[in-house]
Amino acid sequence: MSVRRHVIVDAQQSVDAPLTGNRVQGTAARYAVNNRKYVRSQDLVQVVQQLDVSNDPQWTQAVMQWVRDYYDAQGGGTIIGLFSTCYLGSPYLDHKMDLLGNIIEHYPSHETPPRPFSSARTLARSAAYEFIEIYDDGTVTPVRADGQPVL
Amino acid sequence: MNQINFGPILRKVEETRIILDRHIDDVEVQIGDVSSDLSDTRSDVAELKSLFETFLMRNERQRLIQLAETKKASLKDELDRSFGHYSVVRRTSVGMLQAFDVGNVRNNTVHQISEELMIQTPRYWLAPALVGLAAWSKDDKELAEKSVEAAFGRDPKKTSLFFALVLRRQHRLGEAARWLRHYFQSLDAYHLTREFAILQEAIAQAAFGPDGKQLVMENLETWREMLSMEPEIEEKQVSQWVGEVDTHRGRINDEDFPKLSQISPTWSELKEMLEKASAHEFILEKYVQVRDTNTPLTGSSADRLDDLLDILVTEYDAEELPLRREVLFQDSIIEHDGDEVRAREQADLNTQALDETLDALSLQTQTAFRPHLLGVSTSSQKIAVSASRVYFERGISRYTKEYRAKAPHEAALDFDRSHSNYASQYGFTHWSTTTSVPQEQVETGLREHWDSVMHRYIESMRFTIKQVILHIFVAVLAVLLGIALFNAWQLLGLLVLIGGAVIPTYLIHQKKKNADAAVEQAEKTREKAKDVSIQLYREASAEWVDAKLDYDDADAREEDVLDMVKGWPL
Repeated sequence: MSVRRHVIVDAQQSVDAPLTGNRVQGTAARYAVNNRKYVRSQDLVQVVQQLDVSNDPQWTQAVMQWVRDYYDAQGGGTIIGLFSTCYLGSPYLDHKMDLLGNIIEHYPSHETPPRPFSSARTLARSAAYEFIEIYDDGTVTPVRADGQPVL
Repeated sequence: MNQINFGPILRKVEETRIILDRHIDDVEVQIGDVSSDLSDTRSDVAELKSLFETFLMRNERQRLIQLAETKKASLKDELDRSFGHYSVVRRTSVGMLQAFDVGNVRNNTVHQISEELMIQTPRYWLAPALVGLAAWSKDDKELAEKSVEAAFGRDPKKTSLFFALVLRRQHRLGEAARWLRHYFQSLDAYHLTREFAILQEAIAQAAFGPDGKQLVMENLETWREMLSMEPEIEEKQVSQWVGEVDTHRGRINDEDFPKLSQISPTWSELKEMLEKASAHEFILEKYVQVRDTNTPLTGSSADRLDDLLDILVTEYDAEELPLRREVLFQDSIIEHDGDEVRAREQADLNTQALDETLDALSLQTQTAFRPHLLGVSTSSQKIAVSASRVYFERGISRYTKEYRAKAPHEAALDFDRSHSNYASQYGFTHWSTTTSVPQEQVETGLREHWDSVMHRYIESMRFTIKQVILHIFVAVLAVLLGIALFNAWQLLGLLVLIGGAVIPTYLIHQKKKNADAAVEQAEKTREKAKDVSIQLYREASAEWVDAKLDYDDADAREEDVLDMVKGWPL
């Protein structure tokens, strides 16, 4: 393949097009969004990486409560859940941690996760992101292994 | 009763049949040739159409390039006519500063020239500034004050900076700092003008000494803190960085993936992803070059100051900007081979850099993108990238996230009637699959589909009695008529009898022969037709794998860009 350098046409279009349709309105919401710039702790990253370690319901509930408390303390708005690669192996591809529904569910590649988690699936395929945060305003925020969010 | 000898008649009929057979064979061959010629002609016409369209597009672009060149020439003429005398002032000011250094020009000469320029350029701030300088050199305090006031009245910002630089050049640091303070007082962090970029150049060149630098750094830091409190301004920086990265994306030609682009309806999405991901490589190339450009700070202070003054006195004035922008747009059309849409995008981005007012953060961002448009050097650009690196990092991350969110993990493959010559010949019906389906499954499915297509075709071509029912009916009627006539007119009855039996029989025979030939031909080419489609599928799949590998490679370069930004020298 040969890629030629060329200045493209629709630079502004891509600049203006948000990943999700919902534009956050209002001062409180803007404040919450502005609060999402913090670097996620390594504890959080490790917890998300180890979701597949145990299927003990008590342990799962404890982990979810910990994650919920962590996000509440940051003041970055209401988080619906996290979506990330599943390490259980075939046929499972990824899983969601539904913090509102209080459940962890694993999905094979042929099964589409429910909305809004489905919008995070393509991003979760990228090795550059450790997990994807999904907020109630529709924002989908990937987080890198070093805890840096992509806003 | 005379015996009728049917021998010669039958021989004649047989001979006629043989001749007819031969002729029909000839005609069939000719029809075959015509069919083949028609197919060739069709592809020739398609190729010709494509060539013609390419020609039209090139021709139109060529026309636009010529038009742009003509417009550019006329714009330059207009610039010369309207603002040519500004150039004289600019040249004179550089010469005057040099003359002060060398001391080989009499004060009266300097004075006289500057006064002439003052009269010739009634609105330009630089002319009274020069008169002020000349008066200062002649120790004419009253004239110096009047002139400085006039220059300050025309453009306080530029005048302050100009005198700050000139005084600094004459080692009058105290006075230079006072002018610098005036300069800052005249600035609004939300609406900085282009010459602030020149001040940044001064920081880059350490031209104002420790006191001046301290003053500048304090102001910069105050502005930065003030502006970073406003999410909208921060957001604007990130968006502009996203735009900057996007302008560096490459272009993929369909010819690089001929089969995939031919049969994949989702090719355009994949192509866009490939092009977007390719931006990392190009943005890395651009900024590594900026980072690694040697910008020594060891030159003499006077030389660096000369550069700064040179920029200040030679930069375009606000009045000239509309014309200069139009020249840039025409340049952009020529640069983009007549592609007006891309040229407009580029020119709009460039115009942002030339915009009259920018907030302090945006100015850093624009300096990082296009220092030459702001009249500053690579050393300023380095400082600007350093100051903007938070937004650069967020911009590249967001840009990547946006295309990754849309990255297809499979390609749809459509086989329609036009995917091969056999497909159009045998009426191939639409069949589709994706690159996620295992190869064996696809090939089996494709073969089975071809079998059903061929089965339908063969059944439609096969000889059946229904096709000749009319012929049989005519033959029976003719035989009955012949028998009826035979009693009255033997010869006529005989002819009707023979004609009625032979001709339909012959026609039925021919119909069956043609049908059998078509069926035989279809049976023979069935495997070939399958092989062509399978080969197309395999090539398209291989191109998909290549495209994915290219995408993964290009996408992974994000990390290199981020490393470069994080490691940018402070």
